[in-house]
Amino acid sequence: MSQIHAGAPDIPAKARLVRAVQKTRSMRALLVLLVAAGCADDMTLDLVRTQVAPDSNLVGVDSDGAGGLWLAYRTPTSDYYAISEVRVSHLDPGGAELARFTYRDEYTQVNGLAFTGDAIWLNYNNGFSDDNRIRKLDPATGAELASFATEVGIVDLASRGDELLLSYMWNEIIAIDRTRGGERWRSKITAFPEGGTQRGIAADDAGIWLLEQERDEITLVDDAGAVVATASLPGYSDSYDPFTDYLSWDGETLIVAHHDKLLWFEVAR
Amino acid sequence: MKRALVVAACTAACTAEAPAPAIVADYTLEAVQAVAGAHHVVGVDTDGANGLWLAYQMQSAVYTFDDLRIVHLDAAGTTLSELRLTEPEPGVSGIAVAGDAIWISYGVGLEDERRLRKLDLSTGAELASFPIEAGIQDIAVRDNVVLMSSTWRELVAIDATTGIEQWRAPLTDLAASEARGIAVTPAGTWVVSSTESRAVLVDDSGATIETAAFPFGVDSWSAEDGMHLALDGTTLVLHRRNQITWYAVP
Repeated sequence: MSQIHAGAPDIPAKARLVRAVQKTRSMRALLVLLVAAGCADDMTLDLVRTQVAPDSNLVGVDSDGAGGLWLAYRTPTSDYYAISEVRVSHLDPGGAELARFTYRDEYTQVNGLAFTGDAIWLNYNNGFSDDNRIRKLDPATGAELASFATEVGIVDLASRGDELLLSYMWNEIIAIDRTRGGERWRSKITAFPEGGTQRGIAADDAGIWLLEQERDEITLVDDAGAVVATASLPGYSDSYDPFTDYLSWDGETLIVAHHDKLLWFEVAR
Repeated sequence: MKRALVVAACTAACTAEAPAPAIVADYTLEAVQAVAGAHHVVGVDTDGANGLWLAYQMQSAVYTFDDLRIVHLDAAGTTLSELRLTEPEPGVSGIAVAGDAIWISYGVGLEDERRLRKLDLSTGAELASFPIEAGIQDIAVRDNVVLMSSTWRELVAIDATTGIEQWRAPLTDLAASEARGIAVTPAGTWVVSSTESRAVLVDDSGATIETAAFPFGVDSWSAEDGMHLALDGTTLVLHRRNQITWYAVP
């Protein structure tokens, strides 16, 4: 286990809090208790599972809400602007592939995937000269249902209610409505260094989880961008290749997709 | 003359060291609705019924422009019509729909083959074509005149029948930036600043009648992407970063 940042309350109060938390299964309730006790940053993550992705060049991950995963892969090309093959795969909880859709119609890099039950949202985004957009795909057939053109810099996406939450690499969260893609709000994350370091994003009742390229940490923020808690990511020792890339929440664990590896983390004490 | 208000805004471009840039405006516009373009947007106009005319520039590779798609969306976003123009042309910046025709401004850069085309909205047949100067960012139509906003802070008016220039006016109020989107009203012409998060309403001499601030704050990124403007009744409709946003004018 790796414990994070200081600022703990007095020992007796903390002991009472520990007992209360140990009885708590709900992460939202956990964080409510932590915030109420004034030690919202006293959060730890346990690495509970790792898996090499069944295919290579993983560029997006999300839970299917039933223990399985939706994964996106993109074959790199020697020519930056060549049409590349993109594959979207649905795995059941045991890892068996339930569906696969293949696309050979875009040159733009894929950065992130989100699943909302009724659709797969695939984010194409790279530079100013790219065809930057979010493709809405039918999860039954893979057919394109809609398209939202976006600004440059979207590096991952998540869903929450009727919104898509976009991770903007220059340290912002952008919320758009899922129906017509209109922007509803955006918030700056001042906790991250300037220069374009924000990466993966996931969301649940507790808030919005973010990865940042220069630290092996996960940061939980509210919709205003204020930090609620942070925790280091254990079990990864390559200091020259920090956690980046893509993030998902499957209802019980955070899933990090880094290069072609998937890592599951439980929020615990 | 309305009393000017100074509105301070801080955006992603601000750092802890730099003070928040001030936007000088008479009032701040309120966003009331926003939608995303389906593809890269290069022009916008309205149909007067909360629907949109959008121009999408499709590209299969960098700087390789494929078909230009002109789509008409109703208020709910349903596609009512689509016109695809597949002949090779330079990049588009600005459209204006007038009656059964659409005006399209091609080519912004000095090296582009620049022209203003008038096409039949139903068939795409060319009805007129005029060579234009470099730097035209957006266009609007008023009676038999096509108004064009020039990057270099000028409003240019040409005869819609002959293409002959009628007049041009300097936009001195935009001296610190460049001109972008343009929309005409009975009271004057709105012109968007590329970097100052505001629009100025000017008369045909270029003199400012009033200034409105956008709520998104000063941000230099939009100067690269292009910004286009239209009017829906009294509401300004701005394209910026592939988002089309309706702004209520108080």
